[in-house]
Amino acid sequence: MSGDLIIEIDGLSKTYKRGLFGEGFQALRQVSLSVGRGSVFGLLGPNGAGKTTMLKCLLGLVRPTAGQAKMFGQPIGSAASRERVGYLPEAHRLPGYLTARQVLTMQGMYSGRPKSWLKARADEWLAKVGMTSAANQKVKTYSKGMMQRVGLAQAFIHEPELVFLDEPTDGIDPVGRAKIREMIAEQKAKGVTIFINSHLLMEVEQVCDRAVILANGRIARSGTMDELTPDTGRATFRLRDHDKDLLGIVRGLGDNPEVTGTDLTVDLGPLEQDEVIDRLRAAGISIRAIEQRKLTLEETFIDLVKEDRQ
Amino acid sequence: MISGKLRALVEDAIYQVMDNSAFRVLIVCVLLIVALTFAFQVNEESVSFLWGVWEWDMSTVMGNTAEPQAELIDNFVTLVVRLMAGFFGVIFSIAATSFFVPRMIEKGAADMLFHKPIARWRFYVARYFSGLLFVACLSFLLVGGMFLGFAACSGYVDTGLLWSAVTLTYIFGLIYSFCMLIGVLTRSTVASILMTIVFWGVNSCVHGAWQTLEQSNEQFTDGVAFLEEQKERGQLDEVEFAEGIEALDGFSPVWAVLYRSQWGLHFVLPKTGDAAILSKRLRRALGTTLLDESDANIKIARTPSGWSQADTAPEKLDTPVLAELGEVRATAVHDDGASFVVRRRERRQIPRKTGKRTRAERFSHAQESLAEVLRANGFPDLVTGDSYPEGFRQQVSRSEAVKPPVLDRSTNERLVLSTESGHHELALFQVGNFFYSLELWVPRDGDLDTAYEIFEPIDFHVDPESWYERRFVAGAPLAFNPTFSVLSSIGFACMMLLLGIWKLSRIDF
Repeated sequence: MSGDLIIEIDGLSKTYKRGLFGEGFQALRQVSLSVGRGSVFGLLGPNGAGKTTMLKCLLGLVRPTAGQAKMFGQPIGSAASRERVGYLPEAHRLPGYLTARQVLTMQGMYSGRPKSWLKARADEWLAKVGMTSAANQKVKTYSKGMMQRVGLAQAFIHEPELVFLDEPTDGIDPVGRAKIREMIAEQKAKGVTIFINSHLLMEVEQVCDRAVILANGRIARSGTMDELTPDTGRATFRLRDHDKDLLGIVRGLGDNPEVTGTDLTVDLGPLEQDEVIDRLRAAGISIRAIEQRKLTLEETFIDLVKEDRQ
Repeated sequence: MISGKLRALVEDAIYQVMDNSAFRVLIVCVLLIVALTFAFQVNEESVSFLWGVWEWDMSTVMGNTAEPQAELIDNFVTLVVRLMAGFFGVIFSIAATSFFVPRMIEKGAADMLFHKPIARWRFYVARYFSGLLFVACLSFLLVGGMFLGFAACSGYVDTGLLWSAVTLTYIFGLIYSFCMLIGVLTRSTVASILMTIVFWGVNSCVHGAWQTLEQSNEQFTDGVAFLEEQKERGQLDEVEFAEGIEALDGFSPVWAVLYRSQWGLHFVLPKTGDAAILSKRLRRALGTTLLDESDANIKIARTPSGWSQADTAPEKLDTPVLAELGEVRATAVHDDGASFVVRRRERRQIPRKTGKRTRAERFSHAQESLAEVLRANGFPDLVTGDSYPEGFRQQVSRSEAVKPPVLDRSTNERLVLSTESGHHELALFQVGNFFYSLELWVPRDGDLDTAYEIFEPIDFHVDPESWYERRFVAGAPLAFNPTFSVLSSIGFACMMLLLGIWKLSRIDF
């Protein structure tokens, strides 16, 4: 394992065959990336971008057509590479004949944890996901949200070092989502690396340190959240009551100035903001706040998808 | 670490089986059947329900049979184990367990399992053993319950009955391996059930057809051998021989192709039909009878009163004669000093007069050979012209219960030899691939006619067997060999499992 990298992907490609003679569908094209220990990593992309395929390649559920990847320094596909991994699949199906407690115990045992060790942790995790009262009910009686909670708990029950969450908040109410965000933050603090695949960009933006945006099987963009949500250069100046001509004051500075009530919004270059402040003060106008407008992850995402389609 | 994972797989299998509603229905059915064995009390004289609430005389239930209790219970067991459990039970169990694999590899469920650090084949094999566990639980409950019921309420103990549970599980195991393969190929429960039932049907047809063709082939071979023998003796000339061969009408080319195809399939496919025969043999192997020859399917079911089993055969005749009769299989002595010894030897291969090949010894050869030994040892001239002592002529193979001719005084077919020690009666009869001899002896001062009365209860039971069953014995050629049957069937199941594992390893979920 090079440095403190948990996942190393190099030129990973996957083509799904369609029929005997049909042309294959290329779900992943030469994807290369690496994920460091202890980070929360987001995987984004439109439907069919190859996000789930990439996760499944890493977890040995799908065999890559080309390229190579390692988890914990072990080649993917080997059982050893999955020893310290947790996974919450999208649209997962828990065995209906088990209770939530049995699911957690069984999944933990599959990951090599002893039953006695899992007993206390199962109760702890059931409490964390709010499933204590239904812990002894058969899974087949659960609602979608309850299934999702149990699914989430089973991904963490064996204390993995790397967890893949595929649409973790799917079917969960807003209160539950907030809890999940807390849980992710808590796990991150413990040094667990979390790999999130989600359509809910707001959430990804809130919890992830880094993200990759896949489009058409390729990495369209990757970076830290700050890199993916850069400043637009547009700033809004919140001003105290005044009767001045704001457009006249900032004339010649920036583009597209707009006045809304007592506030001024304008696109500014890197050095122009100070100039605007100076002019406003010189005009005797008191500035309450300055808000820098950053690109949201959603906007970045939509721009990239549009670019890719063009 | 591995043992923990293994434990998880086992526990998962148990939970899966226990949650199965079909399993619960079957448990109830099994318990009802077992309850019958406790509710009915069967003895030699009567059958009663709930300790005498209703009672029937045995003669009205079973008619005149030698062992009505054993026969009635055996019929019940056959009905339950072979028909109800062995056919409907297996089909129902297939239907109840066929979803194990398709559900395991459904989208979502497969992801949950196969991302774990456990090889896929382990999950697959675990599902196979879940199915086996499902049927084994039911089988052992059924058979064990019936065993206890008969033992507790009817005083009938047949430990061999317990083998039926193993046999049921064995049959299911063979078929279920195919069901799982279809499950992994089609990912459909319905397709698995339907194709497995079709497969079982086709498989039975293949073996049935193979037996028919093999029987025809043997009849043809026997016919040719008979004609050759006649020709060697000068009873047929070349023309008559050729006409005889033509009349036997061997396989046409179409039949030959069919025969070979069936033959090949018989070797490859699981021999589920053999399980019932194996079960019968295993039951007998556990039984305690005076004589029980599973490979020849002949037994003396009960030791007659006044008789007791002896460890060694009293040597009454001279050694060369004894050697010719074969090895001792059963010996009993009577309180009055009489004794009987059952011996047997395998059919030998004897050289043909022409050509290099050999052929299996026929009954006439055995008669002739024994007669020569007797003559050489100073016994009266036994052969006059073409006839042989009548006591040697009887061939036993198909009837249900027989008295060898020497005991059947009405037919007067017996060979009596007198020596200094006493009177001997000898009978020679053929069962399958073996020649059996029965030597009865009474002291010289004893009354031979009175002695017959004590010999009278000795019954040789030859189970009604099909042509195939008689050949399905240890040491038989490969196609009829029980060991081969079991090993090739298990081999088939292993092959199905390996194909399933291979396919599972290739699936992208």
